[in-house]
Amino acid sequence: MLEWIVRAALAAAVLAACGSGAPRSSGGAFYAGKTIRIIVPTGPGGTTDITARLFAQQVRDYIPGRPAIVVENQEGGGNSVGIRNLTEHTPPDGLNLVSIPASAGLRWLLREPGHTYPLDKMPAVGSLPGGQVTMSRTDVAPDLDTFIRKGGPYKMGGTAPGGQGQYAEVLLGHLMGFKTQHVFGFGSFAEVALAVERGELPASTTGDLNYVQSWLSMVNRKVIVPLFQGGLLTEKGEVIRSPLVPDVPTAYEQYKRLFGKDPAGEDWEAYKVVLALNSASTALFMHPDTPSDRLAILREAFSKATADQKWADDTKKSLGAPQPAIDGQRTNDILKGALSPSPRTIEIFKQALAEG
Amino acid sequence: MSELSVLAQASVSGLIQVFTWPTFPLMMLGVAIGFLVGILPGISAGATLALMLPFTFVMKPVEAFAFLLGMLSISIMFGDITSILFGVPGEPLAASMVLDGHPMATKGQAGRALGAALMSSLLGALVGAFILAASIPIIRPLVLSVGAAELFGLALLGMVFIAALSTHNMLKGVLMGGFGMMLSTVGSSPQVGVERYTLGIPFLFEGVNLVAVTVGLFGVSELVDLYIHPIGIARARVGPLGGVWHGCKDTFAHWALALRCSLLGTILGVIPGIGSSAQWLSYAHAVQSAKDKGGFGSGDVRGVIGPGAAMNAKEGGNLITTVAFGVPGSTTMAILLGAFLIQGVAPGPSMLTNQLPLTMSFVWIMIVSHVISVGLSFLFLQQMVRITEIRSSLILPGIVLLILFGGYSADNSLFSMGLTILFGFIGILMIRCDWPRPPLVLGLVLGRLLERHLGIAYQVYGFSFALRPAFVGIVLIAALVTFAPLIRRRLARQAPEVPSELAYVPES
Amino acid sequence: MSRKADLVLSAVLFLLLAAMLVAARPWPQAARLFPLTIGLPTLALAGVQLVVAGRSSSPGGNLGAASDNRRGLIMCGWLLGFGLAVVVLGFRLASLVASLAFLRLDAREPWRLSLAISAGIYLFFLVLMDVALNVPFNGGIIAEAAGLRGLDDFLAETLRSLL
Repeated sequence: MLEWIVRAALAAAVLAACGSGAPRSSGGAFYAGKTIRIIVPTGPGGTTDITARLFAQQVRDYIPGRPAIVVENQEGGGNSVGIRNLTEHTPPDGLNLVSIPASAGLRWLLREPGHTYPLDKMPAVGSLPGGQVTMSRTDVAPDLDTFIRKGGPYKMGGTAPGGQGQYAEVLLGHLMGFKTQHVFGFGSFAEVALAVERGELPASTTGDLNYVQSWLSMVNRKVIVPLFQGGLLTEKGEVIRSPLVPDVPTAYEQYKRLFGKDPAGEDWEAYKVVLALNSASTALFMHPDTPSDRLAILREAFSKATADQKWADDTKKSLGAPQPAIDGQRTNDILKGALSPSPRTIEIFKQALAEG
Repeated sequence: MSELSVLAQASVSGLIQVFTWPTFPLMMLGVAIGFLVGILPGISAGATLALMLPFTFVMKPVEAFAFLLGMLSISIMFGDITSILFGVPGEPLAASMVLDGHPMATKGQAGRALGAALMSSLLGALVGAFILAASIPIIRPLVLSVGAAELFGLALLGMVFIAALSTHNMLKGVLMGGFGMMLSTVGSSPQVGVERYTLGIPFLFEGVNLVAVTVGLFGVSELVDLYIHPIGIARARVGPLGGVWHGCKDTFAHWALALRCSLLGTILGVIPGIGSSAQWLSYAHAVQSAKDKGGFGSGDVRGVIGPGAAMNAKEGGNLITTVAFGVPGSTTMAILLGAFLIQGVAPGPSMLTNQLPLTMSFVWIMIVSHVISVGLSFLFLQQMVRITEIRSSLILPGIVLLILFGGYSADNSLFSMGLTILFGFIGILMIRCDWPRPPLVLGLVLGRLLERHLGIAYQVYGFSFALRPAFVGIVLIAALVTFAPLIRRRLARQAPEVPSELAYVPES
Repeated sequence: MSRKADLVLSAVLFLLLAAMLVAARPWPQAARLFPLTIGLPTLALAGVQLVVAGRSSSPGGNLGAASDNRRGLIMCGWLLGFGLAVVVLGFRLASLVASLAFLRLDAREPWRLSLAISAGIYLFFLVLMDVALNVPFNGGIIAEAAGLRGLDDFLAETLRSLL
């Protein structure tokens, strides 16, 4: 009974000290007795949501004060509702984060309705990058060279227009020499996989996580063959293979092999934006005015949690390989260029969207 | 023959796994949580499932799925309770229970309705589980042969049932169905991403929220009725007809209907996206196949048995596509896929081959959790019936808040709560002026499916999709279903004058 | 009376459908195909219904006694009131305040019973929904203006930190 009173009093004292919402610097015990909220701007289930929940469970021990962490779904507006809730309706007190999928970044770039949050000013706590894999049915083209030689147009599936898969397909199609046509309206990428297996679609692109879960069995049965993956950007701007799909060459590698030189030009510049967004996908962002010391605490917690062997072991059990992680400052650095592209690049995106 | 023995071996292995420690207690924990989720409207099974996901990280696959599936299947079984007792749908899947289950409660037969709902749920779950197991050898080729054109045809077939849901005022029924379909177009168009009818409101970008609409449309009018009748939910005292056991006997008496609806539910569950209409389609079937339709809408136990069986059988169907293909047929299945991811188990062919014992354990989890729940629930169902005898004023605030909460928690927004209130008023008007509500909801659900699949079918096949044999077959069935009752009525030469949906029984 | 309501409803539906069809005209083909395909026949049916409702002489529905209607309207008013309370006070606190208001002002239940029920409802939402299940309740307009997550946030936080 006494202990309860003491803890309640302590908690009340801490809250009273920090409770008015006005951001104020405090020491390392700031997060003790608090609750951190991670807003997921999609419905429950799905990669963004699950990654956020797993992360929430893992990171708690690395934040001094061991605060409670809750994940809240706030879907709507094509991801914009949840993100704007953070920037417009929560105080910048260091207690709120939002997980932003890569596709939202693209929508922000193109100023789609609702996406009016200041993404370029939001500090990142860290990100869990995910690449993309493009594949084709083996009876349509057993390898990339044949795929390019035949040229298409290849019908490729997606859930809704404006996703990074569509841009990747169109832009790389320009670069490598194949045409694409998009069929939207699928409920999920697993449905797209079903359509590909049925033979209704000849090819498609999906995220590497979904590839491992829904498409790998088709690869093993030789129904489809992976043509290339997007890969991830390093801080030096090089393209490396995603650890989840180490056997699939990147589009960059394939281009060099086919044409004997580095890819260049406005389509490649635009594609690099997509790549950067993928490399910083499922990133956890905070309010632009978050006090810097609280941001630093969370960034350090993220780095420690994801550098731990436990993280590598746990994610390897689920994904087949440890989930790579990029810390907050690097995330913002990678995104800096991507979030302020040239007007010509924006034009290219709009044209790609219109190409269908 | 060896395939059968592999299946048998896996079944035994799966069964044994369910009864080990800590799998069994974990399953019971899931059942307990599922019970709470089911009887408390507003807590969606999906959100709770997502909350439980991280805990499964440290579990082995069988343990994790025992926990999650136990919760999921039981929440559906008990989701009927608020629909029957309060007239507020606990899950949007349970809305059809309000049509006949709640009037039974107002007549003092709440126990009977609950008993029938529970028993038919059990039957549905058993049928669904059985079909899940039996279909394992053939399911992959079967689902692979159902393409976009066929899916469009099936959604079309579902639409035809709209007419059946309003046998006595077809004009209004079909009109509401059409309006429901128009409402389903609100949001981004699936093929081109153009915002339709959103008036710039971001909460409408993904469409009108089905849960909010359903809770409002069906829950608020019951609320008003309760206010008008201060005596309590049950306006007649419980007589010998009211008992839970009587409801169970009803289910056995109408076993053929229950079986048919279970089959319907399972088949619909296999088709992604269409599952939520299973309850309406089976309700429509119950009405259509009944010789005396007059009682529907004012407390016909068959209106409880049909949807009850279908709703639970649908889970078995959902599991089939989720396990065999990783294609989630509903939000809860999408979350369950997350569990697959966490466990490092890939849905697909391996679940039907080297992971077969795990798949069979799913079957047993569904069966065992349902049987145990039904047994336990008899202990307290009769007590729940007592709620219907409390005077209205004491429970009204709770019901109002449950309705508002149901709307709010649909997507954690005040906008959806407002939508619930708006559709609540619309629902009241519809009842007063004798416009049927189920076709509206069915149109809302199926409209989206229709458009998506039509778009895909056209883009993949061009207009020739309409020439595919399976599609033609489905259209013929649709025509048969539409015109058969009309022909039957013509031949029987009777047309009793009954309102199209009578959920309001005047006190006089 | 119910005939008039039926007629009004039919007219509103007809006009709404017509407006939806007109709004669809400037859209690209892929976006407007489905709404037009469904909307045009539905509009036609709505037109037929309008005519039928105008001509019909039977009540075709049950509008009930006038006193029932009045009570129905009052309940609708309470529903709106509860909703307003949620928006202003935040869901948790609104459940307490609005329930108490209803039980005392409308149902005229005794104080102790009203308080007990209201408190029970409040605790349900606070303990079970918020703290245990982490349902993200809104804070309410007043709380947001003050920069808080909710007027009773201190209670929720305290409870959470104890668990």
